[in-house]
Amino acid sequence: MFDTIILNDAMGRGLEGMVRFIELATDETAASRDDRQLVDRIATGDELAFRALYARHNLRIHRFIRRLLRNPSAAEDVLSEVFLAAWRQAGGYEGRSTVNTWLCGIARNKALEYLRKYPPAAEHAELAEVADSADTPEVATQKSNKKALLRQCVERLGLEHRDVVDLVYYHGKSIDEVAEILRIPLNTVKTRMFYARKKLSEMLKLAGIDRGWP
Amino acid sequence: MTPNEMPQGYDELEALLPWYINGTLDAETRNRIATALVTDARLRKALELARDEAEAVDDINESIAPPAPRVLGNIMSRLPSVQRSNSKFAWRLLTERFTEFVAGVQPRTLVYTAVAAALVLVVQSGVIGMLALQNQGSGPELASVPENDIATQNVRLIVKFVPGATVSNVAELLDELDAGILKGPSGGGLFTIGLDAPQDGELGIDRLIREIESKKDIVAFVSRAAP
Repeated sequence: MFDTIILNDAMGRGLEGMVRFIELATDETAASRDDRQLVDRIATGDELAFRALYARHNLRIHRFIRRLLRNPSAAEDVLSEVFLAAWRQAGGYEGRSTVNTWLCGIARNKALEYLRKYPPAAEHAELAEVADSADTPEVATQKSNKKALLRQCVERLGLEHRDVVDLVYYHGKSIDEVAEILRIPLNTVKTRMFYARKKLSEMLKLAGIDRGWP
Repeated sequence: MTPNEMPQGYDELEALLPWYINGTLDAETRNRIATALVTDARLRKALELARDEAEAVDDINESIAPPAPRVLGNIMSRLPSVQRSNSKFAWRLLTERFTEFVAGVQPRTLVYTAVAAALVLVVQSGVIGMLALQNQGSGPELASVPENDIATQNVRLIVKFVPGATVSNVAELLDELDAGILKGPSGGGLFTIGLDAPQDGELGIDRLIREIESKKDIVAFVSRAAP
């Protein structure tokens, strides 16, 4: 389950390191409570706790960033920045939200910083539009598959819709948690999700599928 | 946003379906939706659509490969040079220990509450000083900060906190700014704080100073530190 490199490193620290790593990283029953303990240990400079936190959260945080940036190599750079920020700010974590929500908030800020610094090239957006209108036989076949088409539409959502649907549907965030991560009011979370879903319906309708909603 | 300002076609129960699916609604709202689903065919159809969306989003995310193992190696190699902020952690430890102490005393001992409160005021200055000492301790590490970290940690400001500022106020301000105390207090109660350089250069630093100046309940004075 955990990255081989992390495990190998823990083994390299001897039996004590290995036992401690397993204690920190594999106690699924107390995952949430332990996340907070990990962050407390990280605040004291515990690198093993940091590795355990990374092992628990890197995959989902990486996916969140990848979806925001649509750029694999940039996503890995930003992922590094997120965990370095977590290391730096662990002392400021107050436990008012889950550690994963805290990390998602950092990840979104770092991703937006990256996008401000390196705005996506205009041709990327145009490419998406061209791909939409220039249906190859393969794309035409895909369009006969409603699920595949829906996936295409989700992929093409704009940034502000993409992050809210991902946070709710994939990361399982509550309205309060989404509001905290996106730093917007609760009602805005609900209307943003509504608009994201409405956009999906409009895109599907253009492709010939009327969902009858909203 | 008031109900009148909600978008056209917006229905509260339909709008909550994504959270009904991910199981994060409170029991009352969840029951309200469950009850409506029994009689409302339109809502049932909307629930199906939301489930399709959730499945599509799940498929997309699950298809994204994990980050390369070298990412962790890169992070670990940079940890020693990262300037850390322990302000809130120090405050939380202090308050937790104080709470434990209060919980452990006999009721009649509580007449000493005023004394304890006074003690907290005294400790306040000590904690700020401790934060400064912690950061001073990281001084030698700054010498080995990689170039890209130096580029983002090169703004130093002189700050004086108002006498009534609590440690919590100061800790929150430092965390908000992602800043750390580098030196102080020196003569006149001045602290030197270090923080990330804004992306818009001098304009950003001026804006940052104005922003800090506006916290009049915490900050009495702020200025650029001499290079």
